[in-house]
Amino acid sequence: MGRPRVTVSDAGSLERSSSSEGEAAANDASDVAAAAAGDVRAFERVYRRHAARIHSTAVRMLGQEEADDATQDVFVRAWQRLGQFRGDSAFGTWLFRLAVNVMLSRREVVAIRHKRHVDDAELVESLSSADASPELGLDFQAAIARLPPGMRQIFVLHDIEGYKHDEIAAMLGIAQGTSKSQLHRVRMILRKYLSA
Amino acid sequence: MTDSWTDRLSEYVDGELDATTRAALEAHLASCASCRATRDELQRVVDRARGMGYREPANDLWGAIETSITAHPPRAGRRLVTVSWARLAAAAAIVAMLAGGFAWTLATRRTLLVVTPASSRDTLVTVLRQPSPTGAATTVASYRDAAADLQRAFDANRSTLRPETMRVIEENLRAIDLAIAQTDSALRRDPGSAYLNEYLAATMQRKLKLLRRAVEITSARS
Repeated sequence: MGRPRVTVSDAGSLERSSSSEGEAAANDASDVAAAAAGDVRAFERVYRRHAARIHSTAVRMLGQEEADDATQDVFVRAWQRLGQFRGDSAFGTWLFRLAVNVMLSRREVVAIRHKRHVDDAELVESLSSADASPELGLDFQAAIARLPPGMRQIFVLHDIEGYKHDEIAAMLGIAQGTSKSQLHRVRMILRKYLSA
Repeated sequence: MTDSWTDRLSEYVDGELDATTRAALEAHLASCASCRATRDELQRVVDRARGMGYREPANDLWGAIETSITAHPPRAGRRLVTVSWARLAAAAAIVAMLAGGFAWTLATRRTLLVVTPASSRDTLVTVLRQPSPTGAATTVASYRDAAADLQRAFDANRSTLRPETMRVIEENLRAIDLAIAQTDSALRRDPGSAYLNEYLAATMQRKLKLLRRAVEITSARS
């Protein structure tokens, strides 16, 4: 399950989302119920509360240029499926899981559209062999974006979103051991970009 | 520099090692400066990731979302296992064809309209493409799948019914199940009997109808 995160506002200030988590969940409950009955304004409030997390995750998993489309897609699908939300988990958890599924399916389309056939091992090697980020002009975030998709998703879901390996394995359809070993490889790569 | 312990350092940082392995790794760390440095770097990666936070989209995406959703209201309450309804439709169609006595002469595909009660507010009409029947075994299996799905849907909301209603439904279901069992038994002795085949099909259909009606009632109350 994802953990409470920090939100970076447009002004760049940090807000602890955990401080208002309970309030947000309560607002979600009433707004989601209203939205499910067709209240667009209630759904806009839901969007405002969750857009930053969904969009930031889209940037990390798909890249900046796909993130806007993916975010729109997530919220349109969420609207269409509000009737399926049973309240068994927090709405944010349900929405994020839906978002991950949307992003994973879009990833394939993006790869085909860009005809991206870069070999993962080659990509990892190029990141691993770089002496330091200044030469490459890569900072920590950019290094994440350069990771092969599978490794990047595991890193985003585990280290940024706080999902456990068994949850990630289920989402991505891989073995837990693969999730663990890939995460370790990613971290070994990214440690070189820490100072950037 | 890496050694045999390096690959375990992420698990160590995440607290996922068992006590024995953890103790052994800590003993190694005490004497290996390289692994200590790597552990510290991995911990910093984790800390950095956890602090990355979220940023609002630079563009306001709500306008485009609103345009999309305004044209399409939420699909309310299609929560009663879509697969089950599709299965029900297929089974009901096969059973209906059996009862009509012309099932096996139909080779072409037909279209069947099935009313599926998705919730108290929403009645969904599904147009289902019906495959050609492939045999009695498939028919019975489809019926059983559909009946089991409906039974589960019914059981999920049975507490919404008044006891008297519940008793009537259960008595009817028991009577139908008994009739199906007896007919099935008779068919084993006389598999060629057209009458028994038709009666079995009609009884299966009665059960599906009763269960479907029961689910409609419980859905309306939940």
